[in-house]
Formats: sequence, structure tokens, C-alpha cells
Amino acid sequence: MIGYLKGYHVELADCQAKEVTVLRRNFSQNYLCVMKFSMEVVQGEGGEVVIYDAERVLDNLQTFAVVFSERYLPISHVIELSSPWPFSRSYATAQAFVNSRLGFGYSICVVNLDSIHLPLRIRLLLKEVSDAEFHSYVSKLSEDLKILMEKPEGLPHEIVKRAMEDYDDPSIEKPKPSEGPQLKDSNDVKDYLLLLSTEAFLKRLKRALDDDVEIESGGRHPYKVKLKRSGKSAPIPYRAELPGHFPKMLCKELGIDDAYNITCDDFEKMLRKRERLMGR
Amino acid sequence: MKVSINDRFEALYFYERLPDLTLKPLRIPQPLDQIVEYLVSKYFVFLEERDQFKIYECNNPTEELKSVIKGISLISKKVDEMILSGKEDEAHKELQKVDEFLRNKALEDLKEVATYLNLLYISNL
Repeated sequence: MIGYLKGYHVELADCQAKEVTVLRRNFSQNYLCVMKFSMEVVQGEGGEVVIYDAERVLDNLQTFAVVFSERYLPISHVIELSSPWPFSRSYATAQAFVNSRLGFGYSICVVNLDSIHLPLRIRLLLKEVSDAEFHSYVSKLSEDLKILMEKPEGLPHEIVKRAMEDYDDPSIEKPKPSEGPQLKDSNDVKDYLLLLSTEAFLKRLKRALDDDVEIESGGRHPYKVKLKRSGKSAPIPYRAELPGHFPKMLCKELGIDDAYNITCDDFEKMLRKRERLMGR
Repeated sequence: MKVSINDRFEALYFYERLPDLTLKPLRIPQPLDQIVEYLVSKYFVFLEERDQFKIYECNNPTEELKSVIKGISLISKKVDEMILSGKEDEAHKELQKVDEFLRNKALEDLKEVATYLNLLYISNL
């Protein structure tokens, strides 16, 4: 199954550390995008409750999986395809218990088999239970419903395993901690990911810099961006998914900080929020 | 003539009429989206927003305008099929030809744009 897919987006939700690690890869590239963001915690009547709330957009032949720490179970459960309706007409969702670095945990997996976007939202409230309670829950579901089982050939298991292998594989490039984007929450991840296709990136760059930027196509590189103000230029490859550090790298190459007196981090945040650099 | 557009995911989604939730919208790839944006700004007026699509109307569309819109729809549909069958690189090469054409020709000449798009659809895609 995994051979037919173009890439994965796996989120490892460590409910104890209250941190989610995002591992994302397009199989045509030897690069793994790694990002982290914090999970929200609230105090409920029965103790601490961890909130996982994510809106994601899956492009064609891409799969999404979120895995939670062992012994954490959802007490409230919402998986919805974002309004007004999902664009994609061909997709599948599954729930399973799979092994990851967080132990044997609950997971949700979604795959988009269409050529247009699949927007989805997953909102879960999770609570830690005892070992006995956890294993009784898993075996009860396995016996009664026959759906929430780990199957070695199942997509959730395969995709999580592949992400872990890629993460540990030294031959696959990963960003250094200083290179990764600074993301504050799950919504920030959504905004950042929409920025990573060449199409979207060029549109946002044009919107942000308006008349100060020239975008040329053709020649040695698919696209070339030139700042009229400083005369500096930089090439842009055509990719379904640019490397995670690309926006910041391009800002440095174009000398955005010199030309507009703004840091690369601030400029990247503007691109994420689709803002304009007016009057600078 | 009405068209409906949504660019929520930074890609242009399009109906050649009012939004119809029972059908999936067409994804207009780059650089064809530039032609759609140009046509909408020049020949259409904004009517209303429905189901997250912006609806635009043109009261007296010329045959050339209809032909350009049809050409864009046909190519986009074909590109969509190519992507689904794993021929993404080939699709991108064809779209690069459109890009080259757009850099050398003015979009004002709708007859020429229509002829080019329909020829491209018949000969290469």
C-alpha cells in the first residue's frame, strides 16, 4: 500500500511531555521535515486532560497519522472533514493501536487518494488510564469490534513504522534544531504547511512584497525571484513540497533583512499569515 | 455566464457555473490560474459568496471568452487525470509550455489564447 503513496505526515503526540513532533516526508525527496508544537492541558474533574486539536490538509496520495502515548485514551472524540465539505471524493480513515517511540498507542490514520485537497479536523480530549484499564480497553475493542487492532500490513502501522525508520536513518536529511520553523501551536503548523508548495509560496511572496518583486519562469531554474529594491535574486525549484527550511533560506539569500529592515523569522511569520509588507 | 472560485488552499478551485456540492470542483493548476484571475478581474463582476466559493458573473460573454474558459477547464481536467494516473511530471511539462506562451503573448487577445489552449488540449494532452 505504501508504495502507491506520495508521502506521509505523522504526528507523534507525547501526552506526558505535552509536545507533538511532526514528521513529514514526500517520498520523491530525501528530506524529512521535523517540527514540534505544544499540546494544551486542562484540569478536569477526574484529573488532567490533554487536548489534541489539529486542522490539516492532505494533498493527493498523502497519508496522515497521529499516534498518542501508551495508556492515553480519548474521552471525547471528533473527526470531521472540514466545512463546507471535503473537496476530495476518494479517501479513507482508520483507527488503530500501533507501536511507536511512545509505546503501544491509540492512533488515527487518514489517506487521500484524490488529486485535490482533503481538509480535515481532529479534536480529541485524552486522559491517562492505568495499565490494566488500557489493556482491557484494547482487548475489549479487539474482541468486540475487530477494528482497533494493530495489523502489521495495515496502513497506520506501516506509515508510523516508515516515519520512525526515516527519522533514525542518517542518510535522510533533517533540519538542525536551529533551522526548523518556530511554531507555537497546532494552528501555526497548518499555516506553515500550506506555505510549502512552490505554487503557494510564490503566491504568498507576491502578496507580501507586491510590486517590489519580480517572478520569472524558465531558464536554468523553474522560477527566479528578484527584488527590485536591492536587485538581489534567488532561484526557486518546482516542488509539491519545498524543504521546511526553504522560506528562511530564501529570505537570507534575498537579503530581506537588509532590504526591508525585518528579520527572516518575522518575514516567514508574515508569509504564514498571508500579510503584506506595506510601506516599509 | 457565472463562474465560482475558491482559493482557500492557495490553489484555485473552480466551477464553470454555480458551486455544486455534489460534484468536485476543478483544480486549476499554475499558470492557468493566472489566466482565470485575469479574466475574472477584467470581464466578470462579483455577485456573492456561497459555500466558500466566490461567484462572479459576466452578462454578455463573447464566444472567445467562453472558448478560453472551456479550454482551461478541459486542460485542467486532463491534468487532474494525469496526476491521478501518476504522470505528474508530464503534466508539469505541458503546463510549462503554457507558461512560455503566456510570457510571449498578451492575454488581451482572447481569440489567440483560445486557439492556443484548444490546440494544446488536442495535440499534447
